[in-house]
Order: sequence, then C-alpha cells, then structure tokens
Amino acid sequence: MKCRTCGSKAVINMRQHKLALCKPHFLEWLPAQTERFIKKYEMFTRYEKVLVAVSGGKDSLSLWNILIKLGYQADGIYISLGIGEEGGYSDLSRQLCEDFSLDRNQQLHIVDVKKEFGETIPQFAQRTRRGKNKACSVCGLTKRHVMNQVAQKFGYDVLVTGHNLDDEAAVLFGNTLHWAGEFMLRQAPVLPATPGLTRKGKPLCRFYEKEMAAYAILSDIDYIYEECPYSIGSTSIYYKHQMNLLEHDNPGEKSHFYLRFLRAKDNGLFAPPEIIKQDLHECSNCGQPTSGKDVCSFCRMLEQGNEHLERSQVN
Amino acid sequence: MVTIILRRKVFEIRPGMTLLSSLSKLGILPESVLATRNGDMLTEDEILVDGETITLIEVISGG
Ligand SMILES: [Zn+2]
Ligand SMILES: [Zn+2]
Repeated sequence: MKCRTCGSKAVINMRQHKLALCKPHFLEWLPAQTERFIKKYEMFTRYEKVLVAVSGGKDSLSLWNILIKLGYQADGIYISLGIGEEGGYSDLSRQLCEDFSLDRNQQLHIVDVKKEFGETIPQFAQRTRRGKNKACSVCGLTKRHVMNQVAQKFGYDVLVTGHNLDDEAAVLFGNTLHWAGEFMLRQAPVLPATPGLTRKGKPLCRFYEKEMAAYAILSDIDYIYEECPYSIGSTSIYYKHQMNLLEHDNPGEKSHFYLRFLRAKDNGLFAPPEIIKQDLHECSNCGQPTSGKDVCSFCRMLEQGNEHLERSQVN
Repeated sequence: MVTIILRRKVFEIRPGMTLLSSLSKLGILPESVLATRNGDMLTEDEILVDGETITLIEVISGG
C-alpha cells in the first residue's frame, strides 16, 4: 500500500478516511488534524494557558507532544494514584511523565493522592461506600477534583485530556444503552468554563485509538503499555470491542456514531440548552462547585473514608 | 511458519497470507492492534512470509 501524499510505502491505512500514509506524512497529518479540531470546536488559542492531564499512557503523552509541537503553552499535570506495588503501575507511569517533561523542558505538576488526602485510590475504594471495591469510580471522581483544583489554583484557561474517539464512542455507547440522558448532554469536545470550573477540551476526540497508538509509536514516545490493573475486564473495554466489531464490518461506523450524536445534540434532539444548567453552589469544605446539598461528592468520599478510619481505630 | 506475538501469547500461522487474513484466522480484530515487523509498522495488505515474526501491539486501553 502506498502513501497518498508521496507514493512511498505506507505504514498505516485508515479505512474510515480511505487514507494510507507513510511515516513522515502520518506524523504531519495527525498534528495538523488536531489543530483543525482545536479550532473547529473553539477549544483554546495560542494566547491561553493549557493544562494537559497526563497519565503516562499513549493518548495523553501524544497529546502533550502534539500541543508542544504546535506551539501551544501547554503544561502537564500528573496525578499519582498509588495503584500497584512499589515500582508498579503508578510509579512507572509517573516516571514516564517526569522523563517526558524533563526531555522537553516543560512544566509538570505532580499531585500525590496519598500525600494530599491521606490514602491511595485502592484504599479509598476499599473504605468508602462509593468504591464498593471498584476503584474506577473513586479514581474518576478524584482525578476530576484534583485536575480542576490545580487548573483553578494556577490560573489555567483550559484543561485538556487525551480522550480519543474510541473512548468517546464507548462512553456514548454505554450511555445510549442506559439512556443516561443527563450524561449525554454533557458529552462534548469542549465544555465551557462555569464559575469555579475550568473549561475542558478533548483535542483527540476525532482520532481512532489505533491512530493514537500509531502516533505514539512512530514518534518514539515512551508510554506505559501495561494496563491499569483495575481496567482489566472493564465495561469500557467491552464497549470498545463491540464498537470495533461494527467498525470492522463497516469502516467509519464508530466515527459516524459519535459525530452524528454531536450533530443531533447541536440540533436540539436531546433538550434545549437552558434545561441542562444545574443549580451549582460552592462545596462547604473545598469550595469547588457542586450540585449536592452541602459538600461535593469528592469531599463526601473523603469524609466517609475518615469516618471508617476513626471507627476502625476505636475498635 | 509465521510467528505472531500478542503480549504473552504466541501464535504460529502458515505463511503466504495477508496480515488481514492472518489476523482474522486468529480471531484478532485488526482495529484493536498495530502490527510491527522488526520494529516497523505494516499495513494489513502485506503478505506474511515464512520464518518471520510479527509483533502485535494492543491499542485499546480502559478508562
Ligand atoms: Zn508519504
Ligand atoms: Zn468539596
């Protein structure tokens, strides 16, 4: 198969775009497309300060790499979750993020969950009602809280994550199966800032996961290949597999599913925009916006953890 | 034979087929892997030859 641009040997064939490219042209194409989506969805400009959430995985490190290449002011944030043993998943991913930032001379904020809040994610998951030994919900809640906290504290204009199209399509697939309308309304390439909440963007939301893996490998980005131990057998991987079965028989299906959803939402299929505005106020503990009665769900989780701790110390 | 490696799994498959047919014989969705030969990525139309090793890189991650 030949590169469409130069005719030399292609390294990747993207059936959904009917586009095969060689290594140099793929490495040009992907950042150029990213730039196009950043503009199309009005995510941020070169005058704004961007905070990139990095996990050590292929998507987030590639995103950081691309933004630096494109000339954006992009710093990183890494949240150390305390997953795995010493030298295991969290330690390794942290090392990869630190090395990446040092190599490129970029600033990286590191927040260690245990140091900051007293316990690791697996410990929270065990102790709290929310966790029920399932770490992913606790982990997601903690990451959202910490990322917003750091973005607000240091005055970043936008917080970006490395979600790719497979991530977005899988979430949408799950939400559609459960008709989780309130979540669907909030799924978008960019979420504008609201009081206390920094703007969020997903510059990779139009790329297939396979394209992102190819970009990371062809750019020699050292990323963590090992899976988070909690994601094994997760529903998100199951949904991605189901989407890929459809994609395999009908190239472009995954992309259409997501893009037609965005279009339908823009056209008001789900609800007029004013209905989705929730009544938010400040959490009495941390000050971040919440729709809860008093404290936000993150602080509620912390309290539950502490109650349990105190109780077990008394016993 | 052609050796195909995916994480800790090793498959042996007869040579002369395209990467695409080889993956489908093994029940692996091409959408979920990248194939490399001596570190270089290859497209799915390539014919796999006797004695070579193809390493598959899983591209799907959770979360
Ligand atoms: Zn080319
Ligand atoms: Zn709070």
